[in-house]
Order: sequence, then structure tokens, then C-alpha cells
Amino acid sequence: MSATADLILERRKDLAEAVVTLQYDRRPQLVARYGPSGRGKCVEDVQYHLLFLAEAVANDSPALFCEYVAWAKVLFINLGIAVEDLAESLVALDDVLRIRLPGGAEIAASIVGQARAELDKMPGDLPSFIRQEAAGGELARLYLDALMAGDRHKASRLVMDKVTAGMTIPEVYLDVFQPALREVGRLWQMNRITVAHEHFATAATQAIMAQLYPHIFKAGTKHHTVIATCVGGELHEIGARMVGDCLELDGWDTHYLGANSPAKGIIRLLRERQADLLAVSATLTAHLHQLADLIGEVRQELEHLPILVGGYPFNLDPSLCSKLGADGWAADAAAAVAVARRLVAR
Amino acid sequence: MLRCNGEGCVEQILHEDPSLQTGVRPGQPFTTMVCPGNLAKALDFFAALRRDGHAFDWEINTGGAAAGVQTLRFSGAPLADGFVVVAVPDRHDLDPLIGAMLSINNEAVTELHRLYKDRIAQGADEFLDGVSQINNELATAQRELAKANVQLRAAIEAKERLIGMLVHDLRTPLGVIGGYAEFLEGRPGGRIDPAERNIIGQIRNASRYMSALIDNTLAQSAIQSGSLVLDLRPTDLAGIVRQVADTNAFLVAGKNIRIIADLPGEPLHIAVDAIRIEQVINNIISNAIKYSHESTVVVVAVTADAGGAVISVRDRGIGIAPEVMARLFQPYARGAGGGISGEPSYGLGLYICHRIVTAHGGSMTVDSVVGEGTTVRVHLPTAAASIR
Ligand code: B12
Repeated sequence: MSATADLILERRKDLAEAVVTLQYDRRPQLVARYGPSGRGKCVEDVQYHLLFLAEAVANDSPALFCEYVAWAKVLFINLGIAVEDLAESLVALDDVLRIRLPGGAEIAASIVGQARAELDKMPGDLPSFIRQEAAGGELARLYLDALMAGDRHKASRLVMDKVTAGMTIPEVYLDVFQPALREVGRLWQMNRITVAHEHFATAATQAIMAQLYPHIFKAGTKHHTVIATCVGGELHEIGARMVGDCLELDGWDTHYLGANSPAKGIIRLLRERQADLLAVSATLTAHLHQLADLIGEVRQELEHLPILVGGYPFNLDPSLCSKLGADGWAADAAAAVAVARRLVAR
Repeated sequence: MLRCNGEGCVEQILHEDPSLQTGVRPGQPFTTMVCPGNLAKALDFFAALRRDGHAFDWEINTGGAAAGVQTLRFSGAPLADGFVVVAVPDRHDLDPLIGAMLSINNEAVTELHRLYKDRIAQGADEFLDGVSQINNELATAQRELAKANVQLRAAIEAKERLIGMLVHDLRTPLGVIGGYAEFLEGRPGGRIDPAERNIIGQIRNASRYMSALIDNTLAQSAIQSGSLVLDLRPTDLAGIVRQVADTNAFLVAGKNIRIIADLPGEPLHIAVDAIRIEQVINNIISNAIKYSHESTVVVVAVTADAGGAVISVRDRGIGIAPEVMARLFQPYARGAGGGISGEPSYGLGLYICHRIVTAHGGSMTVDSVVGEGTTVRVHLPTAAASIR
């Protein structure tokens, strides 16, 4: 991680305070608009900006921060917060960074400036992730409707019936679960559903994936061994699970460690199982530096082990893969199978 | 509910439930109502209120020697140039209180309500994250188990195949041993002395017993793997029963037990798998002998009936305890116990017999009285219906 990024993370709280103070100085009516507790919320928001900024700086990826601002814009609009306040907080952030960050200010400020410049053009809402005409689109719609109605048994039945009728596991994963879950995220972001809905949709999907295990695990010899896991601190685990399951279907011996795995445990298991490949998933951009650390630690112990990465931020900026020192990345679980094969064939 | 100035002195009592009897008075510090032991905590509460602009749900003991100690929950929020402090016996009392005050539309109450909601929501998020973690761990463990399950099943199948092959291969050398023992036994009297003849007889019996064990083991693995296939041909049941009764004579030897075969005069033909049915009869007769008291009889009978034939075997032995009766046809129901004279038993016999008989479309019943003896009846239909 670059020194500037470290500094941003370290001083996150103070920097955020300074940004909000400046913002309130420039616009005293904010006190009335957000009330006595609003200021604290603003500081929290700016701290969040800084988390993403640090990762954008560390990975020399303005796209990461721009995508974040685009995401925040949709979120704010749907929470009833004026976009101009977001714009002003970016301006204040830019100013504070120039004064308070020695050395690296230029890079950080220019990333902020770029996002600020693009803000107006960024869309204020998001199109649905479920396209009726896409393969599995109709099922994805029904599946999501069942989940949003709290009916996991119906959701399960919908899927099981299709599988019995010949739909393959990768099709279920990528054409049904994936768009449905991403749509859940969009609905949350647009303030249409609560975090509780999000939790329910995830838990139900995890349970239904478990019902599919008899279709996934088969006895017989395996050609390679892979450890699939999420980076430490990560709670989003379904993407990594899908990658693991699709590799298992492709004849790999997979060991899936799940969410939030500590580096030590990952390395021990890599040795124990004499793994041929490590596959790591990160969803929250703020976890990228943990991923960089993990890759560093693995390289130190197992120099030649190929490392495959993927997850939400990689789909925004594929160049993250080489910047983090990984050997390959893939946009989804099906592509992951092909890349994984290539990595172990080298 | 109190309005206090910046120093914590009560300026106004906004509301007081008479049942609380805090004794708080305007003009005095709000801490006068606090128990002496909790004074420091009350001051911390007020310091936090001044520092953070809010304080929520502090548990502080109030009252004293006279009134008795009562724990109240303190919350506070800024109000104009001072603070509003609320003390309630139970966190949930805040809801109705806030509701009531909201109707008066007090600015401080609005703020307090917001704080309260924020706090509850924050807690909920943490809990949800915790639940999410637990669920993730369960989902991951479930995957591991599903995978291990498949591997274990494959390992068991491989082992069973191996055992099957091994056991099968033991048959040939055992046949050789038994066959030569029989050959030696058949030599004219003078060439072998009686002690030697006895030894050879034991070799022959032991090898025959081992063959039966092997047949049971093979049958069991065939049943378990679902590959029990019957080779149905018209067979003389009376003939099989006679032969089995004869060959079991060796078990009777030391115990002075007589086997009485009550068989029809002519052959009784019925379509069965001869080898399997021989195995069934062998199991039942040798059980009967095993569990018989000395100097008793075992009666073996075959009769034709409307739908087929019935083979019955009756002994005057120890009988079967009622709790064992209930699971008689399950593997190892009798346990790996032994017979009356210590004959080995591996508890598979009746389970296998039952499976073979039902595979023929037949049925099997056992009547038993502890201490008096047991009767086993096997009914085999003429047209062996189902082949499983
Ligand atoms: C379910 C969910 C949750 C669940 C996760 C539970 C769980 N057990 O997984 C819970 C409720 C816990 C959660 C919490 C949060 N979430 Co959330 N969540 C989601 C949601 C809706 C779905 C995630 C998912 O399963 N997607 C489906 C899978 C299949 O897609 P995928 O992860 O992209 O994986 C595919 C590829 O990326 C690739 N891949 C993935 N990993 C790997 C690895 C390798 C090696 C390879 C090769 C490929 C690969 O293959 C996968 C399969 O094709 C997403 C929305 C979204 N767009 O994804 C938001 C989302 C990720 N969450 C978000 C946020 C903000 C949060 C929270 C901060 C706040 C909140 N909403 O509660 C917290 C943070 C928690 C934490 N500390 O980590 C945002 C992130 C925004 C951003 N800018 O970063 C999203 C995008 C929602 C949104 N639209 O705003 N979330």
C-alpha cells in the first residue's frame, strides 16, 4: 500500500472532520438542513469516501473512486440527500487534501477532482439487473419475487423444478442467483428494501445452494486442488462459493473456507492440501489492501503458487489484478473455470 | 424528565411519575437523586452528555437509605442552552413517554427520539452482521459435510468391494480344506485312529462353518449394495431341507440334540434360488441348534399349502427376549453373542434370511417364548413374485 494511501487511512477521522467543518463553514444552512445529528452523519460519509479514495490511490485506479461516487450519488438521491451536497463535500475534500496531505496530495486530489468533474454526468438511477429476455431472466424475476415475499420454499421449488428439467448448476448460478442478488443490492441502494431483506435473500440462496450439492459433489479422481476463500473481513461470500462450486463441477478438488478467513489459516491449508491454486474473492473495495497483504504473505511462503482473484471491484477495474500482484482474474464463475485451468497449465 | 442547565442543575421538572419518588428539586443538581455509590457514574454521564451532545441509556442507581435503591436508565440530549435529562425504570418506557411528548411537539423530544432510534438501529445492524456470520459459517460447514459425505460413501463402497473380493477368494481354499478333510474321513477304519478321525471331523466342521460365514457376508454385501439377484429354478424344497439337516449334524454332535425331519414323501417343487434358500434353511437350523438346551429335539418340517410351501423349524431352547423380537430382522439384532455352548454368532443370520425370503415374495415369522423355545416359519409362494 502506498504511503499516501496509508496516511489517508490513518488520518481518516481528522481529515473527515476537517472536510465537514469546511463544508459547514461554506454553507451554514446545512446545520438547519441536517439537524444537530446530521453533522456526525456527514463525518461518517466522508470517512467512507476516504476508505475508497485510499484504495484508489493505493492501486492507482481513479475508476475505483469514480465508481464509488457514482454509487453514492444513486444512494444519496434515494435517501433524499441533495447531489449538490455530495458535490460540495468532494470540493471540500479536494481542498482539505491539498492542505493536509504532504507529498501525495496531488494524486489523491486529482482523483477526487476527476470524480467531481464526472458527477453531473453520472446517472441518478440504475437499470434493473434482471432482463426478462436474457437466458434464465424470467426465472430470476420469479425467484426474486418469491424472496421479496419472504417465501423461500417457493424460491427453492422454482429452482429445483428447473434443475430436474435439465438446467445446469452454472446456469442456475449465473443466470438466476447472480442477477437476482445483484438486483437485491440495487433495490437496497435505491432505498426500496432494508438490510433485513438483503440478509434474508442471501440466507435463502445459501440454503438453496446447499440443496443443490448432490448435483455438485461426485466421487472420482480430481485433476487439481484449489483453495477458494474470501479475504479477511469480508462478509459477502456467495460469489466465492459459486467459483468453488463451478471448479468442483469442472473436476477440481475444492476446499472452500468461506467468508472472512484469516491469512494464517489460508496458508496452512494451502500447504496441508498441497493446493495447486488459490482463489480469493473481495467484494468491498475497502478490503483490497487486505487482499494485497494476503497475496504478499502467500508469495513469501509459496512463491510459485498461482493466485486467482475476483469480485465486485475487479469487475469495475480489471487492472486491479496485476496491480495487486495476482496471476489472473475473472468476471464470473464460468470465466473463472477457464482462467483457473490456464493458470495451472503454465 | 428534567431540564438542566449546563452545570447539571435542575431548572425545571418537565414531567415526573409520582410513583418514582426521586425527590429531585429545581435549583439543585440532578445528582441529588442519585445513590451515593453511583455519584461518580452520574457525573460521568453528564460529562459524556456535554462532550458528545448526547448520552443514551446509562444505568444509574437512585434513591438512598430512606426511599430504597432503584435503578433508572438515564438519557440526555441538548436543549437550547442546557440539556434535557430523562430517567426511566425500563428502556421500553421511553417509547410511550416519547410518544406522549411528541404530541406536544417538543424540540428536545424529537432529538431524543432520533437518538433512541439511531441507537436501536445501530444495535440491530451489529446483530444482523453477527447472524450473517453465523449463517456463513453454517453454509460453509454444510458444504464441507456434503463433500466429505460423498468421499466417505465412495471409500465405503471401495472397501466393500475389496472385502467382497477377498471373502469370495477365501471360498476356494476353504473348499479344498473341507474336501480333503472329507476324503480323509472316508478312509477305511484301520488306517486312521479314532483320535485322528475326531480331529479331521473338526477340521471339516470348522471349514463348513467358515463357508457359511462367507456366504452370509457375501449375501449381506449383495443386499446392501442392492445387487441381490435371484436365480429362480424349480427346486425340491424337501430335498434341500433334508440335506441341510444332515450336514448340520456336526453341530449337534457334542450336545446330544436330535434333529427330526418331518418331510413329505415326494419331492415338493417350487421355483426358488436353491443356493439362497439353502443358506436360509442352514441359518435357521444352525440357530435352532445353537440356542437349544442339551438333550432336546429340533423339529424341521416342510408342508405344502395353497399358495406355496411352509418350512418350519422348532427348537426347545432359550427363546428370544421380547425386546430382541421387535428388531429381529435388523442386522446384529441378537448382538454378536454366542450360542448356548459358546458357538460363535455374528448376528447377521436372520437379517439375511428375511431379506432373501422377502426377495422371493415370501414371508417369515418367528414365535418364541423365553425359556421354552422358538419356532421359525418361512412361507415361500409358488410363483415367486417379486425379484428385488
Ligand atoms: C448479499 C449482499 C450482502 C450480504 C452478504 C451476505 C453473504 N453471506 O454473502 C450482507 C447483507 C451481509 C451485505 C452487507 C453489506 N453490503 Co452488501 N451486498 C450484497 C449483494 C446484494 C449481493 C452479493 C452477492 O452475493 N452477489 C452475487 C454474486 C454471485 O456476485 P459477485 O459477488 O459479483 O460474484 C461473481 C463475480 O464477481 C465473480 N467472483 C466473485 N468472487 C470471485 C473470486 C474469484 C477468484 C474469481 C475468479 C471470481 C469471483 O464470480 C462470482 C460468480 O459469478 C450485493 C449486490 C451486488 N451487486 O453484488 C451487495 C453489495 C456488494 N453490498 C454493498 C454494501 C454497501 C454492503 C454494506 C457495506 C452495507 C449493507 N448493504 O448492509 C455491508 C458490508 C458488510 C461487510 N462488512 O462486508 C454494496 C457495495 C457497494 C460498493 N460500492 O462497494 C453492494 C454492491 C450493494 C449496492 N448495490 O449498493 N451485503
